[in-house]
Amino acid sequence: MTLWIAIGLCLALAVLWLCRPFLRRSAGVVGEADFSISVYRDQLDEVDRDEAEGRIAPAEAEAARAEIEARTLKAAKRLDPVAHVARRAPVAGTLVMLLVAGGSLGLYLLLGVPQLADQPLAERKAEVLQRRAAGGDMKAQVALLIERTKADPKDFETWWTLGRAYLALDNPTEATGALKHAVELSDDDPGVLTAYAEAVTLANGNKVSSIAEISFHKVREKRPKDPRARYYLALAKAQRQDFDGALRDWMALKAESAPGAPWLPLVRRDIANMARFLKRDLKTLMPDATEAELARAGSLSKPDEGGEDASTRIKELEKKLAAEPKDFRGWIELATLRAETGANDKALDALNAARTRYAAAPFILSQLDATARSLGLDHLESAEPAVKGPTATDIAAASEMTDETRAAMIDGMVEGLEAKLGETPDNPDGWIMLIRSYSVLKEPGRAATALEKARGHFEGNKTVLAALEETARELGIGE
Amino acid sequence: MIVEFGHFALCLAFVVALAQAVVPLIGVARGHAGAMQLADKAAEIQFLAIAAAFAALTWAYVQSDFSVATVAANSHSTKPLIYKISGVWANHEGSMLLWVLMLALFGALIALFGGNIPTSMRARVLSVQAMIGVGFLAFILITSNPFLRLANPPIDGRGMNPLLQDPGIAFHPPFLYLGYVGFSTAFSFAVGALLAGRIDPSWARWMRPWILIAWAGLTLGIALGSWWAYYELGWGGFWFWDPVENASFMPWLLGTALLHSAIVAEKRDALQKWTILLAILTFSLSLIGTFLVRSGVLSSVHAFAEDPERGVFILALLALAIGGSLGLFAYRASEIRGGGLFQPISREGGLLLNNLLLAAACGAVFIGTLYPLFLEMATGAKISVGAPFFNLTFVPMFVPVAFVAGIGPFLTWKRADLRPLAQRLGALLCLVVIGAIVVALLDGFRKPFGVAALAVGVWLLLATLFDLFSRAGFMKVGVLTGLRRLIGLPRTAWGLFFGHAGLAIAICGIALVSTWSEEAIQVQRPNETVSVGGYDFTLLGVKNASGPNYRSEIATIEVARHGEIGGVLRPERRWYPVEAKSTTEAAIDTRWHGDLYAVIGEPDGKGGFVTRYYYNAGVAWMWFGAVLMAFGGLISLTDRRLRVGAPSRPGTGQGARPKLGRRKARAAAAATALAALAIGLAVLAAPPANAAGLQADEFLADPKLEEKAREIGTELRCLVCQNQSIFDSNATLAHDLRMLVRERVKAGDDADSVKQYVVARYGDYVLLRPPVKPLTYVLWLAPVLFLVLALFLGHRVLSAQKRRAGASGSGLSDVERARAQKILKGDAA
Repeated sequence: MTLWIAIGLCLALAVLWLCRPFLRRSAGVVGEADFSISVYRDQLDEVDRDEAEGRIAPAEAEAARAEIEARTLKAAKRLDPVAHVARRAPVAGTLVMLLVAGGSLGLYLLLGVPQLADQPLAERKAEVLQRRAAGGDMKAQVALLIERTKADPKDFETWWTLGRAYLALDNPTEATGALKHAVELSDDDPGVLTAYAEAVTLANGNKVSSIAEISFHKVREKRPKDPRARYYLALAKAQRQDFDGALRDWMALKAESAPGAPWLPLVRRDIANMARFLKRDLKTLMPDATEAELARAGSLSKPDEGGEDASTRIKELEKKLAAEPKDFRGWIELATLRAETGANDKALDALNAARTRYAAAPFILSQLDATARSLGLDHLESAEPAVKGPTATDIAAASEMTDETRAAMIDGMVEGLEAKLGETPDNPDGWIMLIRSYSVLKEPGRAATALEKARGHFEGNKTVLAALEETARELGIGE
Repeated sequence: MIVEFGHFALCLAFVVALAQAVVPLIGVARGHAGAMQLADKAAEIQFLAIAAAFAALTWAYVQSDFSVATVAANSHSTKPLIYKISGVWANHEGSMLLWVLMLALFGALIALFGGNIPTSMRARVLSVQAMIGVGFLAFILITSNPFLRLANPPIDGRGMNPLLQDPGIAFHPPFLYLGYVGFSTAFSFAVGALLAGRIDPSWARWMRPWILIAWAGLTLGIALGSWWAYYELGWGGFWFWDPVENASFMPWLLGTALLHSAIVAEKRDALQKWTILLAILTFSLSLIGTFLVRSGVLSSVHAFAEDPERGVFILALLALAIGGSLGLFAYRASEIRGGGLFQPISREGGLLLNNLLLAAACGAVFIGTLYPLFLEMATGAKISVGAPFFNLTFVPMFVPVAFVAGIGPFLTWKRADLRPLAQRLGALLCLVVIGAIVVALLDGFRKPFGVAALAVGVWLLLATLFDLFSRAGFMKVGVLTGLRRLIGLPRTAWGLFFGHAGLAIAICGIALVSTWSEEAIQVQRPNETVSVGGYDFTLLGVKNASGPNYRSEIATIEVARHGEIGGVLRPERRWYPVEAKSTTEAAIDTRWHGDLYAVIGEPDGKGGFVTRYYYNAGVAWMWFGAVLMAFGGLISLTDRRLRVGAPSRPGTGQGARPKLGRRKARAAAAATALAALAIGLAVLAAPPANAAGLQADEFLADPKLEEKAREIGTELRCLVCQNQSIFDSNATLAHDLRMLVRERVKAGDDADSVKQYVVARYGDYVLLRPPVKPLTYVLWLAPVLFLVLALFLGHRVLSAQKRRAGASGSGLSDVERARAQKILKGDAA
């Protein structure tokens, strides 16, 4: 509609302005000859000036004047004094107005698409995101859902999908917020509530908080057999060091689960850990336990042999790590072995030593966390979340560290980087950082190896190769 | 809504242009002033409507509205804002819209500031202007509509050629179009005069300001275009005689001639036919240029043949405009009679010679540009016409123009005496000749042509300065009075001075850069030093950086002379991921005597980088000269004589027009320049992207052999570029050809056998100087023919003058003179 108003207004102004000469009152018009003569008058002035200033000789000036005069006469003779008169011509004017208005409107209707609105990119954000989301881009889908929650914050489906999308993106903290809305909108639907409580737990470093526990209890009120709620409530018991209670609940859950239920492996793992903590024989608890589970529970059939092997290996590792602590896999192995031989606290000590060492390497920290979790060692920790990546304060603190601690931290960082690049090598900046780091740490051999690896990985990618070469040149390695 | 409104505005402009083309002519035929004045209003509305359409399209680009087909095809959401705006005209549809916008701008300016032009003449001129507008608006609406919409817009656009992402290009096309399209006014005035059936001196004066604007704009446009090529293409070259460049250069040559012949027509009432013809031809060349660039015929004759819609449309417009106007000219020519008589040796004679030589030189460029296209269409044979051809044909005709331009201002109108002239200029000429000989001797006669060109440039500069000083008359009247007189000189005299001095400086620059430049290509490691032209270039390092839509490598190069550090150059190589293209950004350090020019190429993978260094002597003079020329044009424009106001009649209440006219004209000049700047750019066509990089290790060890290879190579064309020689191109193919030539030279082949060898593999197309054989007889003979024709034409004009001088008497009687004087004093009715 605005378009038509604009077009109408513009068209009206245009035709009125266009035909003004037809509609004005009659007036005399200056004779054509006068225009020419005023030019010649000016030419004559110029000749006079030139002569006065001595630029042309008097004879030349006189000849020029005669010429100009001849021109003037010619012009005066040819044209009558008043050539044209403006007359009012309303009919012709109206005709032109109508033709122009009709013509331009008709042409536009023929060519244009008046019903098609503008589609600036900013307004098409939702559509763009949708297309990206349809192409499998989770982040686009999340952005899209956020847009939608803003438009309609009372829509359960949107919050629910958003929450699950966040979970898929491994972002339980954000998921908690979205799922909370979903819980409220669904009027405490048990399915939604479980998802929420689980997200809260995950966001809390897999520690079942009181809020989560209350939620799981609520779920069990409505659905007493809900496996997820039962699992987490047992986990809560374990985390309160009530290993007996936890074991009981998990055993019950296992007994009531159909074989092949998706949560079974997790439950079995935890049962094995509980058996270890409580020093009970896993075989009696779980007759179908595998070798690995038995090992985890510390109840292998020949504990001496296994124990012998394990303790030798533990000693070996302890010695090696004391001399050369730069080996996070070593630390993980040590923790696992110690736990399996029942030394849970010492296992945790090993993990914590590694955590301090790798405080600045998030990738390794997450691996250490996973180890702790799989061994159930996290139950032994306080409810505080496990050691996280370095915060601003940590970094600030690093400057006050002793050189040794700082060096250890940097070492850890570098190792973490290398480990991460081993898994996700498509990261040119990461490789360059790694090469630089080794160079700074005065380990040219490792720097060269990293450079070689990077070169191999980015073969054919000229831009990255050039960047690598530049780094290498600057650092004077890889020649 | 905004886009659709723009589309409507364009439709409105078309219909209004139709009215503007038809109604005023009816008014003229019937003597109806209202119908004539409709032309003014229509011109204003047409301009506003096209400006609205242009603004709407710009809005669509800025907002990344990909529902508009051209935006989707030529823009991208990550482009920086300024290049979203410049993207509007960096493509076919948008640049055609800019074309008609410029056309309508000139129409509107004539309507607003043409108060000194008689109503009926203005009505005719604007009507012709509108006819051109109708043609091109129809072209846009039918074949190249920028407002076509997409039902399913993509989520992002396809981007723009990254070579165009450069601020330098921002100034180039608007000026180019200002000139290119501005010559439409000359055409309209010429056809208007032919329609009226009479041409008098006042007509030439009415037309002159408009061609001055067009000429100044075109001069700047060409200069900026070549400057852009110079620093963006990364090879130090600034002019490749490629068809796109020629398309703008041809109207410039004829436009320059027109500018001068219009002076004769105005002052002396002579050369009117010639002036009319030049006005028609100049704009015809603009149209041909538009056809060449916009029909796609340049990129491929075959593509044009397969999808000829656009090309055929422009071709039809071209035929109609050129054929119609020339037909009209032929029909009316016999009615045009000149009044002024002159001797062969006179200011008029000099200007005539300059005109004819310029026209013949333009003819050489014309045939060199069009003949290959024609030949390929007619016979399928492909040939190339490049710098060697133009050096042989164009330059020998243009250099005399510059030489004569030095003498011209000293000649008096009507009849000039050679003897005092020889006395005044002889010493100067001797000085220049002796100087040239000394320079040539010092140079060891290695570059006689370069020295000769330089000498002509110096001659023109000195002669122009000398002319200015003798006008001031320092010798006769003393310094103070002389200075006062200098300041009091008419602006057109200053325009002449700046125009000629600018040309002189530009010629010197071209002579210097093509004679005394040095270059070096090599693989350079950090902290290694290379010497070029007496400067030491040390590569300090290369670092990565990223721009808004590209990644780049920036080298830091220290320049030293005699161990003294004189500056730092930072050339860049950019990679645009969306368009998957890379560009070079040369680093240039301009000094008064020449440019230091550095380009960074690809890494060799072993820590080194390919680098190219140039010392380009005097290259900046060329652009400085061009700017001076354009400045001269604008200075002339402010001359009060070009703005003699509309006459006033008692009772019409139109007094005091002259003053108003002056202010308005000044405002018009400013507005034109501003509009050009504000509107920004359009791109005729982009030179090819430099996909492959510079490569090193290709020089021959023996400098003599290398020089020989280079001499041969400049005559061979890079097969995938627009007229660049293989020594001016980044393309891989050019590199291969360079290596081939060097191999042959190393093997001891002479120039001819190397060329034969290459031609045997790639055909005649590879030769920039086409071989003389039956297929190219026309090409090689035409320039000579043009010259002969020009001389014959000159002869005819002069002999007609002679005949009439014998026939005519002294002219007016005393009574008649008295009457004329009365009229001129304004007493007569």
